[in-house]
Amino acid sequence: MAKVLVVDDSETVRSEVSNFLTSQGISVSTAEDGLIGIKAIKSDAELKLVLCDINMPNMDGLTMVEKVREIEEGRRLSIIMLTTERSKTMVERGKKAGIKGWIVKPFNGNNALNGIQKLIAAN
Amino acid sequence: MQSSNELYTQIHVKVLVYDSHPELASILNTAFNECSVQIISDSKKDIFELLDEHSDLGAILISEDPPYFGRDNLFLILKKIRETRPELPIYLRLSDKKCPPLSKKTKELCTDYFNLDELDQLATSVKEKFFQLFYPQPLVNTLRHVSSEALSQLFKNGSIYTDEAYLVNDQIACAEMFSLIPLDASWCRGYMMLEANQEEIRTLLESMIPDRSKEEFNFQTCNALLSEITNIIWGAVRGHEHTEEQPSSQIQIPIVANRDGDRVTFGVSQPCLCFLHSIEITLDGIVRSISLYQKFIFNLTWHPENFNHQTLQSTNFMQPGSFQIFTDR
Repeated sequence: MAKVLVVDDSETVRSEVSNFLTSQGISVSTAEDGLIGIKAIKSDAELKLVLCDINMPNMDGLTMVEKVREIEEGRRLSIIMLTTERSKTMVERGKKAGIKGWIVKPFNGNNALNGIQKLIAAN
Repeated sequence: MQSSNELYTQIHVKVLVYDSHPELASILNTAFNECSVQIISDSKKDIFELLDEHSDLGAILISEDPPYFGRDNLFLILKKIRETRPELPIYLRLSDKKCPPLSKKTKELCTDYFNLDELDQLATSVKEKFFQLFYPQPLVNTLRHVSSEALSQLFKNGSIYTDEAYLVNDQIACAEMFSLIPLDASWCRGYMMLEANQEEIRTLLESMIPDRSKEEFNFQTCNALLSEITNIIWGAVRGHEHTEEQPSSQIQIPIVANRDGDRVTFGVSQPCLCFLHSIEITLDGIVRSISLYQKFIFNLTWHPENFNHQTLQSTNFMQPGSFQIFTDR
């Protein structure tokens, strides 16, 4: 079963996204901020995709993506930002770090599912 | 076709009128016409019951000879209002009957007092107190619209109704829970505050995550949802920033919360802009209404001329709920 990590400080978002993806046959793990997200990525080689918020305590999502790119060995994990942010500066920073997509909150599972499945399949 | 901006009326202030004069409401409506006062009146109820029901009042206007209590108890009533709602300006209407003069102590409890033939003066006093900041109507309408839209996106199975904007005093908390998030843009610096009651937030959670039992929704899950609602609306409002540059000023002032009497103050004298959203959710066949107070406190800087009335066009996938995949470069 494909595995996705959801990194978001909001328990509501983690639950909502996890419930939706699980109902679509996707296995989900969660992390509450960027620091915990990095630990989860390091310890789970089975991950196919990460959905990541930007505004989080301890470590923000874009910094997390940049750190993940520094520590990756061989694999290039697909990461999608899931955020209320829409600024061009942030999008460009994300693209530079090699993110695969951008979802503007609130999460709309039906809108996002096709893209998520494509990215999982591409991995 | 009428644009959404044209549908809305002027910002108002809610004033509780506690007076049994039969024509006072219509006289005041005429006198207050220019400064948009919404009169709340129910002389069948005790004044303190009314104050409890209406946490978001701007002011109170009371007769020198108040219903139920009478003139003899005026001092005690005013003193109690001052104690329970110290943020509320009190305007006292002097009786048209011949009465002994009011004591100095009684007068000191009032913000202002007036006769019925001095309503212009009263209207000016109210206007000076509440309309210290100029809020351009298109800006207010845009804030109202994007906030309401963001709630609609979040609660797809609910109906969102948003009242006209009004002004509320600093210092009063309108509900049990509140969230605060900074606003830091070229057009303003301050805070956005959302307030709601916990049981109502729990109802929203039940509607969003129906496969979990009600007992699983505790104060932490309620906090998390209020936080996410705040985040979503904040993101929508930020989509109207004029530039992406951050303001250079980093001036801050403390915000003080006092749990005794549910007080929170942003250290300013001017009232803040408020929207009251009602979210109607049908759960188990019963329609439930959830109130959400959204306040904008522009306590650090206010430059409405810098507000961008159009949604940012810097990227083409800006709508809430949208998803764009990037191709490899």
